[in-house]
Amino acid sequence: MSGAIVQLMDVWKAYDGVQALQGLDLEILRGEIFGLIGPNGAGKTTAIKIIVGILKMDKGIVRVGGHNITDNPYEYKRLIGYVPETVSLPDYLTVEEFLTYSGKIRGVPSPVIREQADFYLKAFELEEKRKTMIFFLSRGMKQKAAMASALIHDPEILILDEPFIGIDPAGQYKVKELFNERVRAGRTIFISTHMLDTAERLCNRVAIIHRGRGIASGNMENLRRLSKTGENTTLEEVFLKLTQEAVQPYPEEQPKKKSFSLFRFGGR
Amino acid sequence: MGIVIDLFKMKIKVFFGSLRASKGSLLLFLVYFLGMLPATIGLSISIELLRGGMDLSAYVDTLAAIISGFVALALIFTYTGFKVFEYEQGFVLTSPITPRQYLLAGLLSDMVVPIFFFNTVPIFFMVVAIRLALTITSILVMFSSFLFFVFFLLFLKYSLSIYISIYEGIWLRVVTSAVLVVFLLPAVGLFAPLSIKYGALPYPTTFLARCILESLSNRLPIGSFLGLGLYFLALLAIFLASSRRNFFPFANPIPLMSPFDSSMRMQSIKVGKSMKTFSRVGLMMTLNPDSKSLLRFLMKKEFLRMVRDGSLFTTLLMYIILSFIVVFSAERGAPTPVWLSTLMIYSLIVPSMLIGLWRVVEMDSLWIPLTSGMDLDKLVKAILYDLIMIAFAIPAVFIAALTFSNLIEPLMPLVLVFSMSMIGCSANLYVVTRFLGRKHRAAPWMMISWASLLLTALLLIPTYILSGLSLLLNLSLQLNAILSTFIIAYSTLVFIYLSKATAKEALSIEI
Repeated sequence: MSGAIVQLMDVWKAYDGVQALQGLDLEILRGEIFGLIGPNGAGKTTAIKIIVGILKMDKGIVRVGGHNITDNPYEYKRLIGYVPETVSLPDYLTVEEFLTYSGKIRGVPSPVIREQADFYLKAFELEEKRKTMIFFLSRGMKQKAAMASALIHDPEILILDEPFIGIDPAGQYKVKELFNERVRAGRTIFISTHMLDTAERLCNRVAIIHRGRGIASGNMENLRRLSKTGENTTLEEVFLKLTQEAVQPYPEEQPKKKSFSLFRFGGR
Repeated sequence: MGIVIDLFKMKIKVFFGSLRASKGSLLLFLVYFLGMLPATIGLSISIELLRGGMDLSAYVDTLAAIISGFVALALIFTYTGFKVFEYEQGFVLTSPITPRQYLLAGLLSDMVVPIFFFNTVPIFFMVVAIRLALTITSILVMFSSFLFFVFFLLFLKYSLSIYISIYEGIWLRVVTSAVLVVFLLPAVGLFAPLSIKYGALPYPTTFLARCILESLSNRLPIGSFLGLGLYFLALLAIFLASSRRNFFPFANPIPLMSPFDSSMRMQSIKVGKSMKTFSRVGLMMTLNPDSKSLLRFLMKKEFLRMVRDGSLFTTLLMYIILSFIVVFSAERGAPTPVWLSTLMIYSLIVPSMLIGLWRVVEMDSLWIPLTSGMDLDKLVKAILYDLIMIAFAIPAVFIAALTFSNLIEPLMPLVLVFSMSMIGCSANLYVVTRFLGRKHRAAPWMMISWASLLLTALLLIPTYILSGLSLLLNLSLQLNAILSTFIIAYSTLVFIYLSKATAKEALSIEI
């Protein structure tokens, strides 16, 4: 692992006056599987949407692969592959056509598209469905097709919002294997999940956010230390302790001055 | 009664759901109201011109035929049995509410909802009443006969669909079909020699037509009014009997059908059915990565979408129907403006329909191009080029075919279709793009379509004026060619401006 591929610094976002993110700081390192966890409404999806450029932040700095995404909102997108929480795909395309489309709009050369499509159709066990219209696929298969499309350009970082929903256990196992392979090849995986046991086993580091703020981050050892729980405590126990401690009322409005953050993420 | 009112309120809130959620939709509603106003006032004034001292009872057959069309529609809706919205099946039908309470809430809701859509009707009646100097009695008779008829229709629809759901047998549908034929048969008399006329039959539609027309002449249609009242009472008795039956277990759940439903689930289901139908034909073509330019690739992808979601077929079908109208009217010696105005209506509707379908199919998968870092200008151009190609090429082929058959003069129709497809597609896509982001997603699709049509119509005014001049002044070919050049240049300028504005708008879409 070397250097940060994604950095969020003091990111704020409000929806109709309700603060979704309140000065969030995050740092995701190259070559790691990073997990973002938090209760419902904590701001996980908002943070991810800001990173992938489909939501604008009110304030803050986000860097992806060294690019400031506000200054250069397009170039950095070639570095990312993204799968949203609710996968909605162009139903009228076949699986193969969809992968072609995803590659083409990212400027991947035709021979590479064919090669990558073959590889990921096999990896996600979608070979038989290659010529099937997405409309006729099950939810789990659509999720796999979305993952394959997010990988077609071999992105530096794969960003997935709740990636295991709708995928059967065997499929989940394959996906995890694929994540580990990519990390071994120096790529980065960033997932947001509610499945704490999966996050504990899969991720190198985890960040816990609550009410739009980061309340802790690090590997399991760091988290246990921060939460002052015992050596053998699970991520679930750490998560519950930290989120209960962090309960505090929302501030009335966004402060004009830069806020002081107790926990700086990304420290090792 | 409390539970009925509560359920009624809930039905109204669900139906108008997204209209309440978005401030933008309230503005669109204002646009809708203002857009309807000129047509309403124009129509009410035309009633006065129509009366013009002549006996309105001569129109009983025509008006009764139109009203019978509504009865036929109500009957057709009963064929598939009693339908409930999915949310109602889950939350309402599982509560201790009785069928009668549920039906009463539904009746109230069915009475209130149309007021929203026909909000200019009171203005229409006011203008008519003032200009025709109607007496209070005439106004009251007209209003109450209209109410009698609305209840008659609703009772008929509810009762029949309940019995069809419960008994399921084919015989009830056969009886319904027979009633439908009985109601529509005299309408044939309007076009062909047939001795059966609505005016001579004791139909509720005849009674309503008489009540309206005679009230407009300040006469009291006592017989017709009583006849309509009897029909109302008979259907009320049937409705009360059917509302005692527990039809809940037999009800068919359907997604919410509301023009304000921003999820567009109903439209998605319909498009899904089209995809199933057209998948075999659509899969004969494939999308491969070999296209040299991204624009060409995206155009091919858009074309595939239109083939596979049925957009292309629907457009084809619409123009086939139009060509029949043209051939029919030309054979009967109808003047050019008759079918040309039909062509103009078509050319206004087709881009709106095509963009509407694009929105239903593509809205939820917009995250793919938006997170790819691609040049969105190319995407907008690909969509527009394809849509314009379809909106222009299909009618152009029909116009060419009709020209070869010596039925029409092609220049002005071709220029009109070109202008309407260029301006229509770009204006519709521009408006739709403005409502794609998360902030405005709750705006109802009906209102968005309305705003798109209004913008298109406004931008088409120069086209209308120039083509109108050509028709009215019966210009020479050379002058027509000059006018056509102006129209084409103007349409191209509007297209360039709107496509750039759309691409700019697309950059700021938040999901």
